[in-house]
Amino acid sequence: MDREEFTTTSLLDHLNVNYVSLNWDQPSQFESALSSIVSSPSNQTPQSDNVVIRELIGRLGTICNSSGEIEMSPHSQGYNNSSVNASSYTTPLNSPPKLGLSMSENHYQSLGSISISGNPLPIPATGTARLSGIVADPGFAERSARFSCFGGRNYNGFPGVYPTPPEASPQLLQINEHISPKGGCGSQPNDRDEPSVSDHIPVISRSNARKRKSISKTKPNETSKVLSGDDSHAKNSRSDKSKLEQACSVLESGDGSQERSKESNSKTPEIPRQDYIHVRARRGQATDSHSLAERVRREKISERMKFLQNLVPGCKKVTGKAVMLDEIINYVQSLQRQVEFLSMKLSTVNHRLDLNVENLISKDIPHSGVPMDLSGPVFPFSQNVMMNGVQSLSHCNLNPLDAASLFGTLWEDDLQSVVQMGFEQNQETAFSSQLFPGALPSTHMKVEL
Amino acid sequence: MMQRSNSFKQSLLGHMLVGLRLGGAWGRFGKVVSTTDAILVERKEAVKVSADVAMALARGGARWSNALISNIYGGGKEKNKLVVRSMVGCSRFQKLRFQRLVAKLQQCRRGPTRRRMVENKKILKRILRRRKTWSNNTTIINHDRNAKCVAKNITKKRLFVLKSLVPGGQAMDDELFFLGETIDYIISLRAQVDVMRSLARSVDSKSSLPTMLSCSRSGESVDRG
Repeated sequence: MDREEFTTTSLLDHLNVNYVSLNWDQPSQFESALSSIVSSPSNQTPQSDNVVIRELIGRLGTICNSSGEIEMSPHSQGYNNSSVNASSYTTPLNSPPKLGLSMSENHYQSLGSISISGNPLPIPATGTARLSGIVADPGFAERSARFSCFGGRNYNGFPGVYPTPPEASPQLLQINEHISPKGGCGSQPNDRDEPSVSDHIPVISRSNARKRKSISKTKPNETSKVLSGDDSHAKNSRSDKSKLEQACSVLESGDGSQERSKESNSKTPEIPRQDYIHVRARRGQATDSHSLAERVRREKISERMKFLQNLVPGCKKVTGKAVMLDEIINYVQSLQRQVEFLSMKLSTVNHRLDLNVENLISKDIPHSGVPMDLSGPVFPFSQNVMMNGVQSLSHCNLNPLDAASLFGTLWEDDLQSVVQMGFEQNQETAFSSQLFPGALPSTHMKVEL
Repeated sequence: MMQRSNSFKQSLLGHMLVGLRLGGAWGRFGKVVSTTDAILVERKEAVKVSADVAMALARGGARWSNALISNIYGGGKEKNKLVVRSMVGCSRFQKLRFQRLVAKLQQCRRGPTRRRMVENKKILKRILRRRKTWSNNTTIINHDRNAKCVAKNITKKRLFVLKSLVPGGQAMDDELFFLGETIDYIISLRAQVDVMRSLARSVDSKSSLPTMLSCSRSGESVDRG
């Protein structure tokens, strides 16, 4: 699929558009940006040399489940070579975390498409309108989760176009027009910072550091502000429209970078899509594939430890891996000791019985034609075979020393009880080891929020 | 689940009875009425071997079960070898499979792991030496890191102990895999204990000889100890 074609046709012809991901020159950048979106609002500074643009990541969409207010602040900065990183921070209220995540993804990607087309105003409106519709659509979370791809290196986002839900109301569109070009800063102090950022590039890094701090400080205030008074924010954003347009013009002027971006875009879809393990990196966590895989592995280990915790009695209340291992060791040792003791007990048992056992088994068990399978979980001995074996065992009980046939019947009862009662005990141990590998949801990872 | 556990126990019981017969734990020594300690110990050993092999056979393809069988097989006792061979090699398919398995496992046990251990020791010494000097310099500063190191060491040691308990655990480098095997092993150990207990109960209630009772009592005291 050629990304270029896709963007032009889908963006311009019908605004149905556009979950096309922005060309992220560095996958790690993309992921870290996403992680920042997920965990907390933060600006992305990590940069490759002078190739691509710097930071800025937008933020701030507050999305109420019902009303679906959405605010976007794509910020574009074009200087020598401009491609834009835009992101948004969405705070879904009353919605499950997964939904929120998918929302933010979408948001993100729609913004990316904006930056590519350089035609920002109408598209964010539709994009967010659809997003708001998506919020209302609970099934979307699953769909997006299925389509999203963060496990590997594949970042081509959503190739499919999600149908526009009818709920997208004109009100939403209005709200969405309040687009502040102040990426990453919906709050006042950041607004103050902004001009210096856009005017003097060298300042960026410093101001970024400041901004990050200020954002992390003002974050709770901010959201509440956005929630309560939308108007004040709208003023700011309206006043900033002109700036946004400027930025867009800069964007369009930067052809070289766009071409480059398109190249990389056309490259990205070639990467084969696989079944993805949905892993999220929290803020501050490493995001390269190795550490992601390592995290998955650790999670699996902890799952097994939990399983062991359930298995070993008296281990449930214990916290801490070392103590748990201690308990497990004790348990295994006790079991092994028990086996030793039982074998001792069996060895001291009356041998006259054993002779009978010897006779019987030599007759019965090889006869039953047991296909003993080493690898299969299926066990060859059916209950009938065993019962027959045991019963015939009792019938063959011809002991010269014991004249009583009474003994034989007793023996029969007992062995039957071995088979029946003994196996009825401890059902909770229910031999689940066969199920075990399958029972663990090994490929399905939980979404961290 | 229930059926699985039942069928597992049944197959365990079947294998075990076969093993007991083959091992002569009951048969051969049963004829001689003598309860001297040496013979008792030997019988106990035979019972245990047969129980273990039965468990491993009943479980089938797990790594620990293969390791258990090969441990018993390679344990050096001719009698055990005989028992294992006859228990396992009921059908030709199994025999073939078992031979391959034993060869692989013995190779595995003798070959690379020991060499790796030696290498590991060398590397470990070097690392320890370095860490010693390093920690001498920074003992006062890095309490936090020291605590972490201590905790890590403890878990590592316990994991090592656990690996020595689970058959074949020493060769499992991957912790994830090892934990899975441990779970499996624990579950089947439980089943084994259940089977043996019920067998012992059924047999024990029939044995009315006072000498045997006293023997079993001594066994209980051993267990408590």
